[in-house]
Amino acid sequence: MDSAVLATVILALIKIALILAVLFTGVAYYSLAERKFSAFMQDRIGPNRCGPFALLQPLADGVKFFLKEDVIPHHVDKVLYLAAPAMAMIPAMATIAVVPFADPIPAPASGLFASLGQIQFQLADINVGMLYIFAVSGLAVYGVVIAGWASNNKYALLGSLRASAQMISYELTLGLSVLGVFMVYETLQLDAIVAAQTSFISFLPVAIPKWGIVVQPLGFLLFLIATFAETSRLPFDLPEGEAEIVAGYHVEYGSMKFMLFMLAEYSHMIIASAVITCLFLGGWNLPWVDMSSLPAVQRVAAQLAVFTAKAGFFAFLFIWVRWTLPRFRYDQLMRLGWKVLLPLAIANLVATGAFYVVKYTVGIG
Amino acid sequence: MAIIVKKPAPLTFWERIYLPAILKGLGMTMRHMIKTLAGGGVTIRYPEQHKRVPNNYRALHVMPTWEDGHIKCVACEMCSTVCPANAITVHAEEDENPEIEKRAAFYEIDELRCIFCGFCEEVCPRDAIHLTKNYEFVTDNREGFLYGMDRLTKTGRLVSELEAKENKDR
Repeated sequence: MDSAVLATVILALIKIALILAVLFTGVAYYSLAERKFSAFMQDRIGPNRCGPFALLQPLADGVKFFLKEDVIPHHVDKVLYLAAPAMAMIPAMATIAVVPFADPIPAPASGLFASLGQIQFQLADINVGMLYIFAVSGLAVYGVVIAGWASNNKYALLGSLRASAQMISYELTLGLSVLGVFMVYETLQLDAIVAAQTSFISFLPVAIPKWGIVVQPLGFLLFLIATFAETSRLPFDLPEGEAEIVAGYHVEYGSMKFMLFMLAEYSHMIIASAVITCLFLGGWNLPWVDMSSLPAVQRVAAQLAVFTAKAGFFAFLFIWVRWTLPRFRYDQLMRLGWKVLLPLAIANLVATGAFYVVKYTVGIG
Repeated sequence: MAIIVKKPAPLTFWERIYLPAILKGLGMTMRHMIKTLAGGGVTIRYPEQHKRVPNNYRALHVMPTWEDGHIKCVACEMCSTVCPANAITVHAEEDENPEIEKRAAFYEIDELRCIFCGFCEEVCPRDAIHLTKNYEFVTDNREGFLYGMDRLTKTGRLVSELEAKENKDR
């Protein structure tokens, strides 16, 4: 095999292993963070028995799930019932492939990876970037629908119907709200979007970083709200409703299969935080701080730290909002999605388009 | 009779877009979080910390002894008579000391039957039974809750341990 191909494949495998390891560790500690922060917000202490600061709690939870009896109810459609958790989990994991975490570093001058020239902190640098994320995360709804259908349980089916209606409704807003960002940065590639956000808005007296949140504030808000709905977090956690439909689409699931649904939900949130950071918050760059002059290793460490901090804030925001807001009623959810968010997203799109038409014809800015 | 229904004022623009209210709510939860993180919250971390119980708290019994170790109880059976839960069993015998006349040959309190009303303490003419503040005397078998004289004379030591714990925690 050609050594360049071999190097590419080996590098990709290393990246997959690393990214998944980080993602799963992140998910585990995200669940702990959720429990701890929710406790603090409710004047409680939260879990504190497993190790210092309950840091071994995710391990204990995982072991508990592994040791549980793997029950398959007799009335389910076995094949689909077993496939559904994987169908929920795989899109959640696959979306992280195009998320960049830092600027590429030059490859070592000798050795296997020398032929690659540079090593990117991104699994796949494909030019459809964000489109890929929409395409794959759109598949997540299959896991939910199939779980509800295969469970052969009326509550699970109702829950999955609610979940799929919600996801499809808010996916529209999700897609439309981010189009303005593509217009501004003229690319779909996430690393190019991040690079474009290092520039400044020039025509104002004060230099403002050209972050997505600055140039597309409404788009950011709509994207954020739609993300909450897509990850079915409060105030949009309609797929679950103890009072009405028991646990929703995963009511018939237990042990590891249930854990996969939870993993999928939490990895969705982590990836959504990372994507929002890339699209709207300048990714791993800080304005007025030039990290490019640092040595490669230190630069990457600094950029990863900045990226983690920004994404971590959004991850915390998911928890923060969950323990602040009550949920919407189902009709309110639909009204908000179709009659408020979608028109606003279209208006934002038209306004951004109009601005660029004026800009290019008249030549301001 | 006409009932006047007062309709709430229509929501203003800022109320209708939710966002100010959401930010206010987020502020409130953040305030609670910071308060809990800074002050440690209101939780008493039980096995490590102990709640300070009032001095008239009624829990495990103790049978005090005189300085020479002789038990104060004279087996008058007032406690077992007054006990509404029939938790106390007393059998009397003659004491060698002619001034004491009677003493308990067998004295047992079933702490599972006991309702901790404190009547035994109230009725005792010799101040020979008290209810302590020690509420931590669980075991995993029923026999473990049958407190005979041998154990009841020693539970006073546990009280001082409990008080030491309280003082350490607070």
